[in-house]
This record gives sequence, C-alpha cells and structure tokens, in this order.
Amino acid sequence: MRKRNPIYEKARWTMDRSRLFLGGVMGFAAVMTLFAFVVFYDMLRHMRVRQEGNFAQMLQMYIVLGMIECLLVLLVSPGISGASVAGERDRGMYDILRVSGVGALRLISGKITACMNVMIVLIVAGFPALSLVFVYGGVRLVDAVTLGAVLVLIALYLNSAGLLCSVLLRKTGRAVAASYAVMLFLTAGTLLIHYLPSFLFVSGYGEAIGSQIDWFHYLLLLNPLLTFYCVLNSQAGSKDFMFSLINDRGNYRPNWVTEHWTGVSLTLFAVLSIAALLLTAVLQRKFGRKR
Amino acid sequence: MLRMESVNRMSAAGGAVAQLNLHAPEGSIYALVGAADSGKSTVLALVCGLLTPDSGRIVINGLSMSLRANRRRRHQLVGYMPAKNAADPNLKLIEYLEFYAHIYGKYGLSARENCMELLRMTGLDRRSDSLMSTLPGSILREAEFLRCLIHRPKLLLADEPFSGMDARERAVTEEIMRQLAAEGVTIVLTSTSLADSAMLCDSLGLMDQGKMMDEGSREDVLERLRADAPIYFEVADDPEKAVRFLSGDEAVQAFSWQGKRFKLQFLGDAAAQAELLGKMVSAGISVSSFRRGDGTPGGLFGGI
Repeated sequence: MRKRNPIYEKARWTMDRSRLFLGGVMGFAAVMTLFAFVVFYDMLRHMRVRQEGNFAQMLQMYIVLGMIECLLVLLVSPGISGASVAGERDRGMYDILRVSGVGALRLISGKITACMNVMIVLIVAGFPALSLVFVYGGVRLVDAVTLGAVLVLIALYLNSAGLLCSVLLRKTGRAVAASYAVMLFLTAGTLLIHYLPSFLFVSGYGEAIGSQIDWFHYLLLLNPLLTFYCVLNSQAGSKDFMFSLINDRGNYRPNWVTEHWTGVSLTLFAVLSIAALLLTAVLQRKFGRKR
Repeated sequence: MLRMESVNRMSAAGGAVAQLNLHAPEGSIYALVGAADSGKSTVLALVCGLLTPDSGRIVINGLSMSLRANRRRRHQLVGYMPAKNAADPNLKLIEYLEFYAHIYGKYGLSARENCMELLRMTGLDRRSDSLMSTLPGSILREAEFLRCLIHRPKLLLADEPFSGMDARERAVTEEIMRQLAAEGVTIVLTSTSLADSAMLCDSLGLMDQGKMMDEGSREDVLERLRADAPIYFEVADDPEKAVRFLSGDEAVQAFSWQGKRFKLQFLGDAAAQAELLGKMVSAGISVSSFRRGDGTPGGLFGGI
C-alpha cells in the first residue's frame, strides 16, 4: 500500500465532492471559453467583411487567452492557499493534528500539494479553450506545454506565499487578505515602483544614454504577470518585451539579466517558492504553539 | 498514569494554572471539575503538548515530558478530544476516522477494519458512509471520541466529552470509557458539573481560577465536600430553645432560621454530626428532621 501524505489525501477527498471546487472549475473553463468564442467570432466576422484572413490575430487570441488564464490563476491561488492552514485552525482541526504528531514538513508539504492539485486541475480546464489556436496553427504543441508549465510555476509561487500568510496570520479572513495583498504587490506594486520615480522626478530621470539599470527595476523580475506575458510574447516572436518596458522610463544599457529576463525570473520564482515553503515549515513549528 | 507536579503556566490571554498538582492513577477515570475558565482545558492542553508549562513537571506513563525524546513519543501515548468538534463537513464518517488512522501510520485494509471496529462499538457502522455534514451533533461528538481511540492511547484526555451528547450516545461513551479503564487506559475528562461526572469517575480534581482546590479519590473528595455542606433541621416545638443551644455550641460556625426551620454551617464529619444531633436531643430540643446538604462544590467555587 502506497503511503500518501494524509493531509493531501484528506484535501483530495473533500475536493472531489466540494461544490465550490466543481463550480470553480466550471466557471474557470466557462470564462476561458467565453473569451475564446468572442475573439474567434470577431476574427471570423472580420474575415467575412474584409474577405481576407488575418491569421496573425490567432496569435493575439493565444496571448489574450493565455493572459486571462494567468489572471484567473493569480486570482484563485491566494484564496486557496491563504485559507489552507488558517482554515484548519479556525475549524479546530489544527490542534488535533498537532497532538497527533503531524510535523511541520508533513503538514506544509500536504497543504502545498493539495493547493497545487486544485491549481493544476484549473489550469488544465482552461486548455481546451486555448487549444482553439491550433485550428489555424502558428503555435506549436511544445509552446502550449511550456505555457502550462510556467502557469504551474506561477501557481506554486503564489501558493507558497499564500501558505506563508496562512501560517503567520491565525484568522482565515486575515490570512486570505494578506495573500491577496502579496499578490497585488507582486503584480501591481512592482509595476508602480517601476513607474513611480519617473512620475516623481519628471525631468532628468533616467535620461543618461547607456546608464546602468536602477535596482528597483529589477523588482519586475518578481512580477508573475509580466513574466508570463514575456513567455507569451517570446512564443509569438517578440523576445525583447521586458527591455523595451524598462527602457520606457529611461535609456539603459542592456545586460545579462535583461537578455535572459524570463529565465532569471522563472528561476527566481522557483527559488523563492522553495524558500517560502521552508520558511513556512520553520514558522509553523515556531508559531504553531498556542500563545 | 498521569502526574503533574507544581506545574505553572501564566498567560496574558488567560488560561493560567498555578502550582498545579494532579495524579491520575493508571486505569482510572479522573474527572477535572470546575466552573468555566477555571483552567481545566489549559491543564489538558499542557498535558497533550499544545501548551508548554513555564515550570513544573508532567509525567505520562513514567516518561517525563521535560525530556525532548519523551515529548516525541507523546502523540502515540495521548489521545485528545477537544471541547469543540473539528470534523470536516465534506468527509464521510469512515473517511474522517481513516484520515487519522493514516496520520498514525495505519493504511489500507487494516486501517479500514480498525475504523469499522470502532464504529461497531457504538453502533455507528451503519452510518459509516454518511457525510459529516449530515450527522447530528450528538453523533459528531461520539465520532470525535472514537477518533481519539484509533491509535489505542494509554492516556485519553477528553475536554467536556458529554457536552452535546444525547442520553444514548452518552451511555455508550461512558460504557466504552469504563471498558478502556479496565484495560489500563487512564482517562482524564473535564466537566463543569460535579453531578455529571461523579458517577463515572474514580478520582476527582476540583479546580478554581487555575488552582487545584481539592484532589483525590471520588469518595474522599465527596466526603470532604459534604463536611463543608450545611445542615438543615426542623424542630417540632419552640425554636428559641434551639437558638440558645446553637449559640452556645463551638462547632457551629453560623446559623439562620425561619420559623421552625434551621440552616447551620457546621465543620465536622459524620460522627461529629451524629454527636451534635445527640446533644440537641439531650438538651430537650424536639428535632423532627435533620439532614446534611449534598456537598456540591459551590463553597469552593466562589461560595455560590
């Protein structure tokens, strides 16, 4: 008999019959399909009116649908992981688990596996709509698989941050709110920091030709939405999106990081995810006790 | 066996215990009785490791919990039933038990059989496939009790185990507790009502404001409680004679009367009580009824 992590096993049992989860998957697939149909319909109408096929629009549909799927992952992940450990605490199950000898690593690994299980189901549920692109080609199967893998990594990145919030904050509501705040900082916050200096110092900022990139621009490496957009763009043929975004507010010299932006960012996501999970396990052991 | 020696736990958020001593012999049912917020749940949390004592010593089955190596073995020795049900509503009854069987390292058919055996003990095997959300609170409480028994603990800690239980479930649970005690399992349960637990337990501990006010075998503690209880008597003739007698008796601490009915605070055991009655009769007081109160712990818990 294969011994699975019981924490994950329990989450799987409850997930199978949770109406919220089933509704979530259905809603996720429905949103993706709806957007796919709208874009597809618009494209076909355009073809009928103009009597010509703009197949480049297929690639735009791929980018739009990919971004919608990424946005949904960003919106769902904090809600799931933020409530995971804090929810057990609210239900009173957490104390029993601790008395039963469930260690920090076992609890955290079970919880993150359960969260990722949900996210993978959601990501896969969005793929049929994304696969409409293959009707006219332009995107290879390996691109779609890469996209799925990047989405899974982004989900892991956000879920590990959510799990950390769930252990640090004892109430479910606060933990979920903090998880969303982290997600907002990583997406909108890093962009704001990127643009803020040029708004504050209207003239003279970043105008020196070939100057070094300021450190705060590198915060964009933490932005999952931008990195995902970079991946989509590089698949569609535009590989220097990030550098042009940074240069939008200055006149910088390219360097190794800007040349390998997506790879560096994805590696950072993986490293930060592992670090956050290890920190969560350590903090869970420390703060797990009643105060 | 459970022994707590001079255990202290101070907390700004409440739930403190001070200089607590407790001894629950092996195979006994020990009832920790006290008003709400008297520190009973804190004691259980200290024993099961949810809280760490500031000082003092806790010994479970001969193993001191001051040693890290022994603390690691605690989860195999202890079964803990919290005051609040913690079942996941989306789990079936059998899954709920199996989940904990898996946590204790039991998998597959043996885990399933172990859980079904527990359910058969209480007649819940017919409802093994019911979702927890569809079961009444009384059965959820019973399931919570069964969950504690999955790993066959040597020490069972039950916080208000009968709260929310119907008479049938309560009778079954009490019977299982007696069986477990006969097999050598030590059971420590908490209750706010002495009458609730007095018939079941072998040993009693009375707590108030984080302190152990009295502890010992059930008979001894109840006897001591009775010694504090007031005496009620009635006279057939003139009450003035009884008033004069009681005013002159040193053993009588205080008394009050209404018509021919008297209530008096008397410190003394059953022999002293009989002696007092004899002296009253010798003094010519025609006593028509004479009885001692039930010995509730009201005097301990703030004189209520």
